[in-house]
Amino acid sequence: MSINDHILELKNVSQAYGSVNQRFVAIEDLNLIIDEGEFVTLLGPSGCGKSTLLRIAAGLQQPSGGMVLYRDNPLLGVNPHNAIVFQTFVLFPWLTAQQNIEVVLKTRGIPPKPRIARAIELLGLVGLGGFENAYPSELSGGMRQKVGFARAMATEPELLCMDEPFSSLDVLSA
Amino acid sequence: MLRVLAALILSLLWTVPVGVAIGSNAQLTSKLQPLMQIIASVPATALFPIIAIIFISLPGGLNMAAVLLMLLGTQWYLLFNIIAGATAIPQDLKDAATMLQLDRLTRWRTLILPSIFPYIITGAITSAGGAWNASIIAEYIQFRGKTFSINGLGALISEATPNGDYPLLLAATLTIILTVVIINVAIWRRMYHIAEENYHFD
Repeated sequence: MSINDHILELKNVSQAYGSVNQRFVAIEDLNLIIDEGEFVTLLGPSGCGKSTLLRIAAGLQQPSGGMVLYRDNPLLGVNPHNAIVFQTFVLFPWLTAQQNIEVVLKTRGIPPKPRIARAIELLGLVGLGGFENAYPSELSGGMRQKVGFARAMATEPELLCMDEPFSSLDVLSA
Repeated sequence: MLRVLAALILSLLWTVPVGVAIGSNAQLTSKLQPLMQIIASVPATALFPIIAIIFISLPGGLNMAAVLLMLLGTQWYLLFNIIAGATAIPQDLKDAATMLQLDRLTRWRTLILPSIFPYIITGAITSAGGAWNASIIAEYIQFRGKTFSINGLGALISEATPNGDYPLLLAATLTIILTVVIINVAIWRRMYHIAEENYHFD
């Protein structure tokens, strides 16, 4: 039983790059607590370490100092309850929109029929109904980003990290 | 032709996993790359007499030796191409695959193999060319006054040359040229086209 409802807790997290004499500190002594149902936004100029922090929170990168706790347990490796929507969308270019989502469901052992239904449903949810068989190269930047959203939602994450998720969306879609 | 194919398949079997392992690890790449370039620069044909002596006494020995020689000549093109391909996989795509918790098989099928596919094709085209070349040496050898040969186009060419059998030499050479051209057009160009169309990063 958890004593609080902190989903994610960052304790004195630091990230430095480079060697001793040429050190660049990207993040220093950062503390952050995210509770269930919270919506947190990080703001800052380019290069201030937003993406780095996101990678650390997701477990893609070990911080050079400090600790990441997920539901009060130290996070080792990638967090399976976390999904990221990447700044650059990163869809698999050789898979259609639908296949890009299906691959996530497939790897979680969902059989073909519900898998296809769920992928189509998710694409409809982000307003891409009818584009199931389009390849990423045939979609606009904003549409690709929406596929990225749909894919992130397919994992049913407890924590959704989004790296400049609306960068390519127009006012109406966002 | 079967021997060229066998050499190609055998080299693919080991170069794909090894090349991907090296190419995915920047430290490993910088350490092993120079070493492998040195090993690769040893001409395969220089090693052939040794290989031939070892294998010739075995049943089907020259067959194996021929495939091995082709393998020695071809595998490096593939290996270097696959390392280059694995290095070129964008980091964010690898991150995405990690975040999405793709299992090993899915990761290979949806990320690694499609990413290196164009590089495999490029490597295989070069490799196959080298293998044909090697076949001329490998299929027909004279050793201690005895001649060992196996049936193959390469053997025909090697046999016709010292005998001055020009019609046979011409026919065999033309056949080998025609075969290679047909394979290039029918298989490799098509594969290359597929690779260019579908398996590239924007």
